[in-house]
Amino acid sequence: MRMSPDAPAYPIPSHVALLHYGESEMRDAVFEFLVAGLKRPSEALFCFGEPGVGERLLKYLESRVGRDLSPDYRRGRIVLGTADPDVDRQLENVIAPLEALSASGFALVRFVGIVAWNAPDFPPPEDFLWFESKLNEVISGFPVIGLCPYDLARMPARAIVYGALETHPFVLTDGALRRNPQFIRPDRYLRERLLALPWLQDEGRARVQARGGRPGFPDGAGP
Amino acid sequence: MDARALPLPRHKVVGGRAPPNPSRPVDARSTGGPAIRDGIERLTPREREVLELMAAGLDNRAIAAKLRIQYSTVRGHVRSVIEKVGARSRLEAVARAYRNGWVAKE
Repeated sequence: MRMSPDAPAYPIPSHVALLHYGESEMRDAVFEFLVAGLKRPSEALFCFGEPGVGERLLKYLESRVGRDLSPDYRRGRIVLGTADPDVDRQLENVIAPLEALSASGFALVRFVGIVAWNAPDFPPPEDFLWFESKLNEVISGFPVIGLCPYDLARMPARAIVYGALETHPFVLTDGALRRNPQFIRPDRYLRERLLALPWLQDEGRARVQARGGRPGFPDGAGP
Repeated sequence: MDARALPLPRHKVVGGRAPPNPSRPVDARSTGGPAIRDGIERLTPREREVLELMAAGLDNRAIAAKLRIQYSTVRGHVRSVIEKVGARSRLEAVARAYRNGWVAKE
């Protein structure tokens, strides 16, 4: 494992949960992360999220750096990836570009995956959690830093625990990168956490139906 | 750890009856079993293998490598498994498999 020369010193590869409050805090942290890559021609950027999110992130980046980034996009140094309600397709939408960028010889890929919860263009929550955990295995084969922003102001508390804290070996908060003691390895996470998700149990499904068929952790401190 | 390098799954598909013709799923109506078993009994042997590997946590690429079949074929099997067991997602299919005893730790 080698260290990036940037501050914070991200291990490579690494999968990092960015814990933030609100959109502007996320944008600042993501900008700092991506612009460090823009300064190095050997690095590539990969922006991933719901349809349109990557494009918006690219526009934001252009406005902050004050230049047109479309040449970088056209020659494949900047990649925009799209989430998919089908988790297998979503996983492929990450793996295939990582393979292509790696084959193109980029020394490092800075991946930003903007997280949504229970969104129509995203996999169902249980599949999304599996996807987040699975990413640890996926990125282990590539020179990539994966940054996944989790909005503490908007996401249900247990979605943050399950999604951010238990599937990311590192957390970034207030500009400080820390090894995450709550991380659970993917095989154990599947058996001990995902299979025990309340809405996947018989009694949990009844509660989901009572909520109008919406699965996942309810907003607030509900069961 | 690279998913493609995962060891053999520690789980085995159990329950249901082995269909006489591997290319054809068992007709659940002929088994007379409870409704809960219909899902597993509608699966072909290949789909059961795929479910076993899904339960072990493998993704489609890893399943394709393990079974030495095309990714697109695995994808079709996974979608079929999810539909046949009446799940709305990959993880729900796996959870049902465990809950109903279709896969069990060896």
